[in-house]
Amino acid sequence: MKILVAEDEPIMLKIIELRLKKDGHTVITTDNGRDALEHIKTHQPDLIITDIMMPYSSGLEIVGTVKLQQKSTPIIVLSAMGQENVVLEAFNLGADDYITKPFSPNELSLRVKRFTYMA
Amino acid sequence: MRLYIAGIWWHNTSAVPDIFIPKSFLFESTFLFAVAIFSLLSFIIFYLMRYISYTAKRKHLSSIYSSFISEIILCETEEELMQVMQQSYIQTIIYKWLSRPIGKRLLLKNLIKIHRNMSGSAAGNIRWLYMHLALDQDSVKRLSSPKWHIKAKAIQELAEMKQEKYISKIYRETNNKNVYIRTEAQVAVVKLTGFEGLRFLNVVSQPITQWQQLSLLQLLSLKNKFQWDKLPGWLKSKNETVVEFALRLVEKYQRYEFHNEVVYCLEHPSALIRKQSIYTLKEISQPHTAHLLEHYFLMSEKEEQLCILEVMQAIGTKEQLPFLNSLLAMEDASIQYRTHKVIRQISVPDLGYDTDKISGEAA
Repeated sequence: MKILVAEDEPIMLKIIELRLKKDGHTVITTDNGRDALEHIKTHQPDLIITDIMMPYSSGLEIVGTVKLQQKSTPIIVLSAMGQENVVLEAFNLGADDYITKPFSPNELSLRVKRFTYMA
Repeated sequence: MRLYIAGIWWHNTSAVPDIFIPKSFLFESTFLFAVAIFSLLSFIIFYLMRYISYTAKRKHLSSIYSSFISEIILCETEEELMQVMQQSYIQTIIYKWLSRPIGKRLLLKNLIKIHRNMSGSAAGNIRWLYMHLALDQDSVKRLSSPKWHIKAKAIQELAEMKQEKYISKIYRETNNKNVYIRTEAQVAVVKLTGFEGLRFLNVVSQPITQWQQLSLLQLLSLKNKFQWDKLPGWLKSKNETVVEFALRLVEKYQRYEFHNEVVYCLEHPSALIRKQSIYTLKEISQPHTAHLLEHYFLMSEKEEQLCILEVMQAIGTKEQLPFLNSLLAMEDASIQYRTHKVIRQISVPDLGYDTDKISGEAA
């Protein structure tokens, strides 16, 4: 599965990348929303994992843009604790799942696996 | 006035006395000025170079650390952790960078940041690394620093890394004169031991800010185990902020068994506590609470009277109507207005929202 991970925190990005690679996925990473939108166009990922707070374009903008283009690519949103309203907004825009920080990489791996079966 | 500069007389028409500036003085001052400018430029360049080199070093270290920490986080057993630690690049990190303050500081910063975002075994692995590299010793050493910000940060690190064994050292700081140190220490003891950590309320003599009270309440909401036996003592504390915080606890957790103690607080010398007691009674009201508030109404100041009426709107019954009607004779318009609202609410409880609207329109 080709997965795009957008997260502005370098170590978090590295952890997610390593975990997903360990599970046998192809991972494309980016630390900002603008590049994420570019990668979506050029690489056509099967799954997108995006943080909400990011420079240039937020995770919500990514969800909105992808779903506006009628793409069926599933999106998992990473949110911080206490951002319930933002998560609701992400779901309204078309996000498929969310994970709240703090989270366990194993939990992320399981959630991704769910989409692998669905694909 | 005439000016003699560098061998030439400069004329103008004003009647000020002549000024003579010798040539040598001009040379000297020019030279000194040039030296000053040169020194300033040198300092700026030196500082800039240092800053650039520091930033580059930080960037380089951050990238090394991110690989190192990621590998550690994804380990599933202790053997795996030890294997990762044996890798040559990690040994280089330990010997080359962790002996330097910048390397240690940056690793600690990254560990704390990541620990906040991780849970389960990943968070456990970060704590393992923290202990394995003896970074806890480093944090403890900084606990005795005379600088408040270093001390506060050390407390924060120990709490984040769940170092319960240092609880007594942290506990000592919960009554520190410095607000930042004691705030961090109070948060740390509650983070580490939950409700039990609130035992600092027994001895704290420094004020607890309202923000700090709310932070502690928020932290406690994440814990399950509560011990209420100390609460009556806190409600009688000499430290007013401890009483205020105890009242907030009773209010948030609706501890009905402390009704009488809260009523006792209605006679507290501090207006802030009297007001908080009224609001707390709203959450733990009993059939006779509204009647008790009637009794305290006439002894209270205007602000508290308004609070009592606000609470009565929520807990009052038709039994309060004679008392409320008597209040309509009071001269104060705001009391009259609030009383009208309460009477309407009690008389027609189902129309609470509409009556508010009507009152607003009438006003």
